[in-house]
Amino acid sequence: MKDSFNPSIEPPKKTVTLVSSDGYDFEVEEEVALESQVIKDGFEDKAVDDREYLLFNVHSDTLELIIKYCEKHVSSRKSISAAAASSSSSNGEEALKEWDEHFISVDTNTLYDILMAADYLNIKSLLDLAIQKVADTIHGRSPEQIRKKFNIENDSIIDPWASE
Amino acid sequence: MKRVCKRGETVNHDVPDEIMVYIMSKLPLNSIVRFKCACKQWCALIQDEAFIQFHFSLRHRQVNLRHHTSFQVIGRIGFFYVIYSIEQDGSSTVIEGKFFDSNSFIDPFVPACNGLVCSLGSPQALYVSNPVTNDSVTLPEPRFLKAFPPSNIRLGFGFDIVSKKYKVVGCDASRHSKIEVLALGEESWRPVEGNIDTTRFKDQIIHLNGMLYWFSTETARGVPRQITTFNLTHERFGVEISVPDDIGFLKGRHWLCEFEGCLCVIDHYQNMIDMWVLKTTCDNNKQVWVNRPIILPSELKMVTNVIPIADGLVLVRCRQENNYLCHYNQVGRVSNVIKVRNIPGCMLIAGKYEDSLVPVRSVC
Repeated sequence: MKDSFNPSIEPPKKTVTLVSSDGYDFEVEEEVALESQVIKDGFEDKAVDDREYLLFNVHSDTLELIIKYCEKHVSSRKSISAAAASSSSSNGEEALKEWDEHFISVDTNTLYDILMAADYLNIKSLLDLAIQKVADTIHGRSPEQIRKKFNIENDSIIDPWASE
Repeated sequence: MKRVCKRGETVNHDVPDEIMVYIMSKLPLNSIVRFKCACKQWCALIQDEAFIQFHFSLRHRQVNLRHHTSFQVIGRIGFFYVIYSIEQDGSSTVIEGKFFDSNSFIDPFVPACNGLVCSLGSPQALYVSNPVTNDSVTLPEPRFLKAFPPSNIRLGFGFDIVSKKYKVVGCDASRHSKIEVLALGEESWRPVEGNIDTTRFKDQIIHLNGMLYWFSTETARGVPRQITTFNLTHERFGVEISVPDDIGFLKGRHWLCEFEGCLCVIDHYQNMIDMWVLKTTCDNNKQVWVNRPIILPSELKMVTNVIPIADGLVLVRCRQENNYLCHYNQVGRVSNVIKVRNIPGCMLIAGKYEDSLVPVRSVC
């Protein structure tokens, strides 16, 4: 909603503060933070001037990535719906898919961090993306390769070479 | 929080079960099974009954919604059966699941239900196995096992939704004999009530929604007349279903199969296929045969085998030992033919298969 008296000046965007597990503050726009279902659920209960969230399970390195992801998704959602409203053709969805693909092409440790953070913050689209990436990584590999890739200790009681 | 170390350092990835389940739901079963030996957590999870149910319903939903990009078939070389996964683009891979049957099946059919297969193995005995999890049990010996040659054995295998038990029905079609039934987990076979002439059983028995079906009589020209039904819950024979009057028009081979949850009779000759689907009408619940004819392109001559995969997709095998995926439209015109790659010419496709993690031991 814009101010009807002075349409050229936008009201200041509302922001919330996210605090990472290692104590860094991240100030983000409200709508970006609301990509997280967890933040959205608790949002109404909080006072307007006390919109600070302590994310005990998310390291600042990961939080930076997560915010980058949410900002991108919020902005491209807007441009896609704008393109649809003006009925001009756009390849916005495909471009976003490509961006996602690039975004999630990270090393295993980072992927794990993103996966856990997306689960903790309940960001459905990011969780889907990370899970698909893990599944793709696993598909077609031997148990030994998987253990190496994900640093899993060989605690198996099953001998893979034993004939059943 | 477990992870308090710098980047690049070795970390122990503890993934909660619910995320693990989610990851696995995106993987083909053979990948899941292979990782049974990757770690304990994974191993425990894939043997968990709730997970098996979840995975199966998910897979089933994907198949029904046609979101699946691949489907599975059972291939056969001699007595050896192998499971293939075929992608929509025609590429195929072998799934690590094999089993053996001493040729009691008549192609294109294998008694399979929820990913479990009932087969006549070696040494001669009946086995129920899950080829994907490589898990099997030997069944008690029925009388009909003495049938000689074993190709006279007729086997039906299905799931009774009321007692929640898998049941095997079998007989010796070479002579007048008793039909026997066994619920998995029971000690011995029981004879089925009723006088049914077993020598009339020309074809294999198929399973659909708790019922078994098979062709029982044929005319002199080899055209089937009746379909016998057997109710797995009551273990009784039901009303015989007459085949459509126009069947045999093509004078080719006929067989029964499942199509989109309905009983279907396939009648084909050269490049013409009649798919007779038994539909239940909305009013008065009458069952009627509806024909879905398909005309294959003329270059697909000498078709020996037709397997319906989904509505609008059939897998056909030609005498030149090639398999093709044919997409057809509402009027039966084929719009797209894709050759299936990486399946050797000597491999016969015996039927469609739906993989599952259902453990054989727990159903016994």
